[in-house]
Amino acid sequence: MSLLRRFAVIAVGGVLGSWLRWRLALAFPVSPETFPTTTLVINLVGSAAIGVVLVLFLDRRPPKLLTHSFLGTGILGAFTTFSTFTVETAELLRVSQPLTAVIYVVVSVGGGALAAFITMRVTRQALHLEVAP
Amino acid sequence: MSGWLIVGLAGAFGATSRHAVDLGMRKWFPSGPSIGILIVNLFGSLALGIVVGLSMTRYVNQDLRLALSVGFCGAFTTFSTFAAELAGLVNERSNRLLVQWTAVMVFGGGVAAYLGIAIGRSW
Repeated sequence: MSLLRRFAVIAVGGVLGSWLRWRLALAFPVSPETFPTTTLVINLVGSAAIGVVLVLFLDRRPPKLLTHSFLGTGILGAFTTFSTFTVETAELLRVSQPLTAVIYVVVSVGGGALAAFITMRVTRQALHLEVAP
Repeated sequence: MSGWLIVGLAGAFGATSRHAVDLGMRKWFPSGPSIGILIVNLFGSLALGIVVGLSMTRYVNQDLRLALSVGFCGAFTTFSTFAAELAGLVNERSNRLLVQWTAVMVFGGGVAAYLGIAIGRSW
């Protein structure tokens, strides 16, 4: 797979993922003092989806690298976001909402990792692939 | 300029820049969690913090703000790869690295965002 094609599909995926995140943020706005539900849902859904994409296109032999680049690196990479998560956390701390900030971090990181873990496992089982011990 | 065009172009630039950094860093760190994604997420958190901080104390052109925040920083940084790496470390039972990687990414990102906001506000 040529490098140019890979960057091209990541660019297109980046457009689609960014658009989706932007429209969701506009449809479900969250004020700075409240729990950032919109970003949380975006990051959890994207983390669950990446588990499926990794098993379907990267774990298989031979791997489908271009499809993985488009869906995983492009769409899901751009749809989910780390910077909004950290800035929202910093803002919650700045307006003296430390408990909300801690809950937000724990649910995002723990929930995201758990979501990816479960979808990787379920997808492997569905494909009758060997599940790591 | 249309929001669709601004977010789309900046998002494409952000996503391809992320991949370029990831690829570049893989040459030096071929195994383990991606150092490139760590750098991207810390730098993006700092950058978004600066944009948000600047917007608190002064007028920032709406189109420029949309391009930098929702478009570039949003697409440049990523949560899904981080979550998948943590899931992989759980699978491999690399508990020590799991805790270390989570701490570096989350505390590093939080501090970068906090610093960015402070820098932007006092610019």
